[in-house]
Formats: sequence, C-alpha cells, structure tokens
Amino acid sequence: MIDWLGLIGVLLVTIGGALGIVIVVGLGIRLLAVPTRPGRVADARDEEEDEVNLNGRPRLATFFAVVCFVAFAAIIAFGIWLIVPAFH
Amino acid sequence: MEPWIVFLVIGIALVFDFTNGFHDTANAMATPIATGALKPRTAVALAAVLNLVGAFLSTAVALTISHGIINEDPSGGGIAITPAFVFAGVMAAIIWNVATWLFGLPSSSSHALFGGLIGAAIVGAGFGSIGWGTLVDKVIIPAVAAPLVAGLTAYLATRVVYAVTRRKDGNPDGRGRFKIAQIFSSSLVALAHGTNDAQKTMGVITLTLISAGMLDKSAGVPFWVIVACAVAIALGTYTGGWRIIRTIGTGFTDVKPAQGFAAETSTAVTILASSHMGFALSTTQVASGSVIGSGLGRRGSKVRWGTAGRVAAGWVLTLPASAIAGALFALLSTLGEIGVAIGAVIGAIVLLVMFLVSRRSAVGAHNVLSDVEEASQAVAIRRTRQRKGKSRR
Repeated sequence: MIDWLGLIGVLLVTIGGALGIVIVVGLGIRLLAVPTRPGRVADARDEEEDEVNLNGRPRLATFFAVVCFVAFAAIIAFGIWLIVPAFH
Repeated sequence: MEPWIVFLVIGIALVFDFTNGFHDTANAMATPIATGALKPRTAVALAAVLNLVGAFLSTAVALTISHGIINEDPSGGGIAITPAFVFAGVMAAIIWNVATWLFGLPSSSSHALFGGLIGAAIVGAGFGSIGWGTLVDKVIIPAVAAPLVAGLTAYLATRVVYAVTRRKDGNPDGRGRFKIAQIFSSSLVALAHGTNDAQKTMGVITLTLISAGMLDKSAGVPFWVIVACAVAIALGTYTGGWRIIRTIGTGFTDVKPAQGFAAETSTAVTILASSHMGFALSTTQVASGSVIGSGLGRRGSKVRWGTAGRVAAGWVLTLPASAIAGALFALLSTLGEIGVAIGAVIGAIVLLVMFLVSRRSAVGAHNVLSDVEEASQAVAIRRTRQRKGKSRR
C-alpha cells in the first residue's frame, strides 16, 4: 500500500538536488572570501561576518565565483520552469 | 439549494483562502526574516506578490480536493455533497486554522480542509463516502514522510554548506552573503505555494457552483474564481501570520544565514521533487522539518524539542479536530437553511473570540523576533502583555 519506491525516489532526488545547490552557492561564497586581511584572526562572531576584505582577490577566484552564481541563477530558472505548468 | 447558501459558501471559501495564505507565509519567509535577509514587511510583501502571481499559473489540480477522497459523484455510487456540507467543512477548516495560529502552531491548511470536508461528508453521506485508502495514501503517509524527508535533506545540506564555506585559517568566511541567496530560495518556496494552495479554494468554489447547478459539470474554473482566490491568498499572505513566523523562524532553533539558505533550499527542492514525482507533501510540514533538520546540522545550535513536540501534536490533531468540527457544523446544516445560518453565526462568534484573545498578546512585524525565550514560548498563550521588542537581533 505504501509507495516505498516513490518515497525513496523523492528522498534521493531531494537530497541530490539540495546538496548540489548548496555546494554551488557555498563554493561561490567561499571563493569570494578567498583573500582576507593578512594576520587577522577570526573570533566567534566572524562565523557569520558580512564584511570580507576583498583586496587582492585573485581574478580566477572571482571568475569561478561568478560561474557559481550564474549556475545558481540557472537552477532558479529551472525551478520556475518546474513550477509553471505552461512551460512544460 | 437557495442561492444565498451558495454565496455564503463562496464567501467562506475565500475566507479560508485568506487564512491559508496567512498561515503559510511562514513556510517561505520565517527563515529570511529570522536571519535578517529580508525585513519582516518586505518579506511578507514579496511572498504576497509571488502568491498572487502563482495563483494564476495553474488550475490543473483545482479539483483534486474532492476527487478521490470524497466520492461526490452520485452516479459513481457516492452521494452528492451539497453546498451546505461544503460550508460545514470549510468553516471547520477556518476555525482550526485560526486556532492553530493563535497558538503559533504551523499546521497544514490542506489537512484542516480535508478534515473538515471529511467530517461533513461522514455526517452527510456516512462513512462509505470517504475513500479511506486514498486518505491513507494521499494524506497520512505524506504527513509522516514530509518532515523526515525535508529534515534529513536539510541536515545534510547544512553540514555540506558549512563544510564548503569553512576556513581552516580562522579568517572571516563571508557566510553573511548567504542572506542574498536566501531571498531567491525563499521566493521559490513562495511561488510554489501560490501555484498549489490557491487552487484548493478554486476547487472548492468550482465544486460548489457545479453542485448547485450554476456551472456545467465539464466547465473549468471560471476566471473570476481564479482572480478572487488569488487576491484572497495574497492578502492573507501579506497580513502575515506573525505568530507562526516566530515559531518557525526562532522557535525551533536559532537560524543563521548559511543554515537558513540550506533549510529553504531543502524546502523548495522537497516540494518541487515531491509534487513532480506524484508524491505531494505538505509545504508546512516540509518547511518545519527543514528548519529542524538544519538546526541539527549546524554545529553549536540547539533544537528546542519542546516546541517541535507541540507542533507535531498539532499536526496529529489537525485532521481529527477539524473533522469533528466539520461534523458538528454538518449536523447543524441538517436542520436546513436555518441550521446553515446558525452555523455561520456560531462560526463568526468563535472567530471573533479567538481574534480578541489574540489581541492580548499581539505579535506583529515589530516584535516578531523580539526575544528568543519568548519565541520558545510562542506556542503557548501568554496572558501577560508582550514586552516591546528591543528591535531585531
């Protein structure tokens, strides 16, 4: 009676999709944080700090960060495509 | 059936739609409000617009509310459900929605509506009118699965997002930037909500019009019904069920931006994956499960299991409680038109009383995040007047 196969399918797709998205966005945000003020040691409050010193960030890091955010934009577009029935 | 009962049912259905939006604002917007990614007013306005837009996107499942669970087709062996019984079911759902809001409990509006209609149908047509197998398959099992799937996903997503952004050298990691990403992930949840939930009310109104003979059986959802439902759910969303936002945003656990993003992403993906794989899950239960899962996944955060337990108790009670209320209203309706009128008056009085009780400890945009300890008690009615919040943390 219970559609175990359907449930496990949903679980796997959900976990795969969510992990993919957080890895892409997380990598982008981590890349933006590549350089920081030298010698500065973080304390507990930095765990969620907004301000990151951008001086001297390698161009490659910026480039791949942008790639990550473009990928995120594509994922959002796919999400909207899934939501709007007229598209499919 | 007298036309005034049909108009009453349409009016009541739109009130339900309003409470639906009002109840579910939190699913999308509680975590961005909690992390400061969006100001409370901005968040509910964004959710309202997305719900309004979402309501126009689809009418494909507008009639699933009745198909299967209640055999409304007389030729199919069932007994016709009259507008009076639809009134009883929807009135019960509204009362349960407002009662759970009063206690700050995020509960499924769909379950309340199913419960109310089931209770009314049992009185009107007996136990045989209920598709019990469908009820277990489409309501009970998804209700158990939703928080587990979303919770496990959010737990893993939170672990991964913190692992990816962690810095070994102890320098700032810039996780505050997740606030921007949160806006997108929560917007997706709000849009998905609008496309799904407004359709429930469209289905109820269309069904009522068909059963009253005012609409052809094969007719689709009339455009004015779509517009009315879209506006009602958007207004409800904008009003913001602040008590429920507080429970999801700060009651379960303290939410940080990266964690909030992981939770919202899990919610959005769970809803989209489940609805496209034919295993639709309740948005409310998915959102609650995601927040709890993300709380388990972030180092140093605590989950307040007392709050989670009260919310879970509310979920278990939703279906039977609204079914009993629906049955009582349906019993009144058996008196005929006067019974429906009495039911409407009683319903209005109950709602008014609950609203007045809520005024004694009002929660709004100004104090939705005022105090963590208060938030953990948000699921209990407090008699003392709330301290003015010291501003958002």
